[in-house]
Amino acid sequence: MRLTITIILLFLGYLVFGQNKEVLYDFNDLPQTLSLNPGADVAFDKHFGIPLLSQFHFNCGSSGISAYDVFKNDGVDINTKIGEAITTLSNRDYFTINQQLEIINGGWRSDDNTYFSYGIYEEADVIIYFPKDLATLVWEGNANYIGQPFSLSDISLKGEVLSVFHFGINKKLNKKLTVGARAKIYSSIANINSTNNSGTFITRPSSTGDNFYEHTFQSLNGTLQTSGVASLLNDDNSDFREDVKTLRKRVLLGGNLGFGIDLGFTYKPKDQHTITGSIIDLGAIFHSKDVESYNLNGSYTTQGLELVFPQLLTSEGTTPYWENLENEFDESIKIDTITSNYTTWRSTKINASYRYNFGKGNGQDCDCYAGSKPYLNAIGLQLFTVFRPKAPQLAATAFYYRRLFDFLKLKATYTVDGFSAHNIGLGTSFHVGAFNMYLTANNLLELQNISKSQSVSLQFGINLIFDSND
Amino acid sequence: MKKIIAYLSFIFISIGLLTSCVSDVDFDQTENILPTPVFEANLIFSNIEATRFIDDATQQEVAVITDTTRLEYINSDFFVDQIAKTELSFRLTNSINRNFNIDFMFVNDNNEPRYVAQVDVLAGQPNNPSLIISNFLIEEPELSLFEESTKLIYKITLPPTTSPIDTSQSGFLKLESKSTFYFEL
Repeated sequence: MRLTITIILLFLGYLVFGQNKEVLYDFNDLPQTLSLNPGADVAFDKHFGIPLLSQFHFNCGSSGISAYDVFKNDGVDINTKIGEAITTLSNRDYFTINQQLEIINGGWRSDDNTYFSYGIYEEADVIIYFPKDLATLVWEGNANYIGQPFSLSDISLKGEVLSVFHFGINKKLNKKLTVGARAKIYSSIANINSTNNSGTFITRPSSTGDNFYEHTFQSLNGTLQTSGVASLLNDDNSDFREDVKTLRKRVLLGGNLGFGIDLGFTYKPKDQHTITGSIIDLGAIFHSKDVESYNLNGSYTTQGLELVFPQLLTSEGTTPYWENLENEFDESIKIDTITSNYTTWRSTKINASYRYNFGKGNGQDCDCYAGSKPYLNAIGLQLFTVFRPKAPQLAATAFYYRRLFDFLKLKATYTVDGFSAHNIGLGTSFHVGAFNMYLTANNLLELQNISKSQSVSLQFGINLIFDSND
Repeated sequence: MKKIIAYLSFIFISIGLLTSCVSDVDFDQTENILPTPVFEANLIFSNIEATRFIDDATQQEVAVITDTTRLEYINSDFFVDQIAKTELSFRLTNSINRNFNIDFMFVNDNNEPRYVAQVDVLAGQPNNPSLIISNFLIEEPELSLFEESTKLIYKITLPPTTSPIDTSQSGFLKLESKSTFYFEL
């Protein structure tokens, strides 16, 4: 129990905005921007990410609370602080983790107006809503909540690990408009989800007056779906290497498969103005292999054990009151194990941005596909949303982009989202010849003491980028 | 020169981004995490009519009646490990014109008493029942013994009297009960 709570709390230690890569979006010097908008403006001829190093992305967040809130060294009893945290958080607060690792990422220009890109990446995505009622019940019990229902609907979580194989086309239709699309094959390594649960547990004064209370489980209906998990948990081998072998197969299209697309565009109505938009991961995964799901269903009310003092005792001496209660409960509240197929939708993301470019330099650098020298500065606004089980998460970002030198580009962002209203991010992209290295991170103000931060996002990678015009 | 500036700035920014620190926090506090939920749950209940205290064969008032139920959870590992204390509450409403001595006997599988709660109930009237609420707080050292019990015997003794219950007697002896479990998880 203590361990579980510790793990949950340590989650808070790392805590950003699940999936938002506001610094990387529309950072057109980097090929990774194509994974956020397949219709981005491509300013190079060929790219190849260093395998396993071209992008590492890590991002986790907690709305409503930080580890500092609970673990600060202020002399207050930690149990008091946890109790306060449970009271403060609502069932719409959540913890998220999103991690991506590019295994392969490459691309080439086939003609002046067409750029192809391809790759494989691994992604882990977890969102857990705070199960307030359940947490309250476990932390405080029912004694102070007589007459108040505890709702099963507070349990809402989604977690998946998958590999993604993708191929994209970027097409410049004319000077003003570039569009792009990317096809994706998902191979789910493991999936677990439990959403749309319902039902309540309530202890209230007896309505018939037979006893102090009546305990009621009302219309419980809960489902936990898993795929790719049962075989790992149930196998007899304690040999971790066997499991790794199984996982490796699943990474290479051996898991539960799914399909999706990304779409995007860049529109330049006037020379200095750019509007972009994209929709990412519009797709689903069809789970049929290694599926094990559990369904909890039923209603039951009890006032306790009624002793009836029968005139004639049975040979056992007593009526099996306890066994009867257990049987009634088991017949009323069913937990079924189901192995039928299920489908999960990916968490679809939408990006949009407006960008104003200004200030041309005197350097030799040339944005030749734009047919002119590049602007050195840009300011703009970005919007991001990701669809989550209970509600979409939204974020708005203002940014300043600066081409400091031909080989060093910077982007600073200011983001307002569900985690924080003062999230400052910074990205640097460093280019020497074809060699490119980049690092982006947000919540810089909080990094001095990461425990105070409710969210952290980090991307790092190394690419080879070729431009025949260099 | 430009390259040196670029390298330096990249390194500087990288260090700034990566060497975040955690201060003013004490993760050793996890040692002290102790959820202490309090659960209330109904125990047994019954409503016995006056005539139940008359023996079918002899048509005379009985001296004692009992009924027994198993309570499997009290000596379960979870309860034994996690319960810090328990409080039992009994509410008896008597509208029978007869007094009773009541024993709630928590016994083990060999019927050896592990904990006994005794309540004396005064005689009442159908329109003016006697009411008694009795609470029993069970803490160590009694708690360990209590946790060995697997059954609850509800024993009603009718003390000697000059006016025993007869077939014309009306009224009920009603029992409501609950237990409050103080957990330390």
